[in-house]
Amino acid sequence: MTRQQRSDEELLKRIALGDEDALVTLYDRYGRLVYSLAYQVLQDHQLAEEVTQDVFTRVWQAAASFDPTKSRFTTWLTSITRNRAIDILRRRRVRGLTGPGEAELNTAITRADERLSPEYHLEALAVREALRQLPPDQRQVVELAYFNGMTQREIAEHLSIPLGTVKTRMRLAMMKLRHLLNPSPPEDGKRKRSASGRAPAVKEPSQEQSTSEQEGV
Amino acid sequence: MGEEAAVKEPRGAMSEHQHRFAWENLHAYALDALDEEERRQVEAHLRECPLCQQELQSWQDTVGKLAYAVPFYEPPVYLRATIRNVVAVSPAKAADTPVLRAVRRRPTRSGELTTLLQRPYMFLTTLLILALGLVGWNVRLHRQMSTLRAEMSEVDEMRSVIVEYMNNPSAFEHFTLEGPNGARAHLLYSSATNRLTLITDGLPWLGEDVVYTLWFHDDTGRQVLATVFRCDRTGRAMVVFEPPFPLENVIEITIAPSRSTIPDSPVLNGRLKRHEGSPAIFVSSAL
Repeated sequence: MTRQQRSDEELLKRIALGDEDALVTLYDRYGRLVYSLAYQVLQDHQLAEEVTQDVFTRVWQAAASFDPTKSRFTTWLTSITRNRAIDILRRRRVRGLTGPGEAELNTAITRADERLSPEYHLEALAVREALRQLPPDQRQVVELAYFNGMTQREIAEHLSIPLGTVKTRMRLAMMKLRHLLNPSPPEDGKRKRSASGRAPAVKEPSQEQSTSEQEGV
Repeated sequence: MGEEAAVKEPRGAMSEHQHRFAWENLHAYALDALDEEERRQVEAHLRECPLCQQELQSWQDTVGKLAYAVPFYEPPVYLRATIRNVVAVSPAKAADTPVLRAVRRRPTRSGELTTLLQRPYMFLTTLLILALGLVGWNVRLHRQMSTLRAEMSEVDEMRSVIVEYMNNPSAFEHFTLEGPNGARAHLLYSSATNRLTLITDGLPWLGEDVVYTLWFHDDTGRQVLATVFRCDRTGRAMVVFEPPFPLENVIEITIAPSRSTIPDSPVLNGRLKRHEGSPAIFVSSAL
């Protein structure tokens, strides 16, 4: 566990006790991340502000119930942010309001990133390196799901490709990302054993690669 | 108790099918990319399968990290104060959507507008619309001002370092590192504030979109990213930051373009030398 994670947990404990300064410290640390993610989904500064405000209000209200043994704080925070932003995006879509274009995950560090904290910058570098290793068609389906809130079926319709192809691309992309980004995911062997001797639940990426074209039905 | 024992065994072919279906779709569930029916099936299985719950957590961690790949945007400075004010009032009230927000986002339909104009409240409605327009304009202006204020505060911090250093250089430890082709880095450390100031000169210009990283190395071989900065076309930069670990443990620094999670292709690398001469400040044109 890193110093940063411990600090997050300490801050959450203080927030749970009603310490407003702790919330502001947390905002200073992650406000940019939350705002940037909300803006990337919604492409609207005003809505991104509202999402950011809602997210930190939620953190304020739910800090006591956060369980660090179940999830990393940043996973929880970005999940709340994305869910809130996607909710708004989908409501606007239903109401016929123009949604944002296809947002893309950034694979390069740009000059705007110079104001990031070193911890944030390192995370960004690692994620962008991982994304650069994905074939463009795999990255595209992840982007459409992550930023545009599209289901696999909607992505298939949007791209006019078979649903099976979308599923295969998404699975390959996510498996590779997990392998690159999570330093110690559960070992595949352990998963297979704990599935009580059943056939492997998930194929290895190399196996799937060879069958990916056949799944495009 | 082993992991196998902790996992509830599926009962019959349907459970086996459900487990397999959930397992193969957990990544898409974490991305919220499943159809309603698929999502319902996965959630039903998740309630009774600790193995899938654990697997889901791993996928959620991966999805959570994707947020770091979004381009960086600076939130308006006033948002920090707004959030503090909102939570200070009352947690319960803070969850409610502000009335103004609802008014601001309400879609206007031409038919509704015509009906409104025909009513005797037309004058008041017009006034309200004008007021909201002014509020919106004011918010935009405020946002621009906030961004400028944030940039100015960074410049103020740099300026104060320069003034303090010129007035009392002995309050700072001054280290230098020189590289090929005139590239130089100065580090000024103030123990009173525990702040380091990096001043560079002559770093290669790598284009608008490339930022530099400064890495610290200690005697155990650990390398830590200390700060990120951008230089101008003459290779000059100035940035003030807090050292990630005590300066006495830093035996070497590296300055490299930010291209990977390790300092690839360094443009400056070496041991820090204590600067003994007269103050030499290279002020970035950013000032």
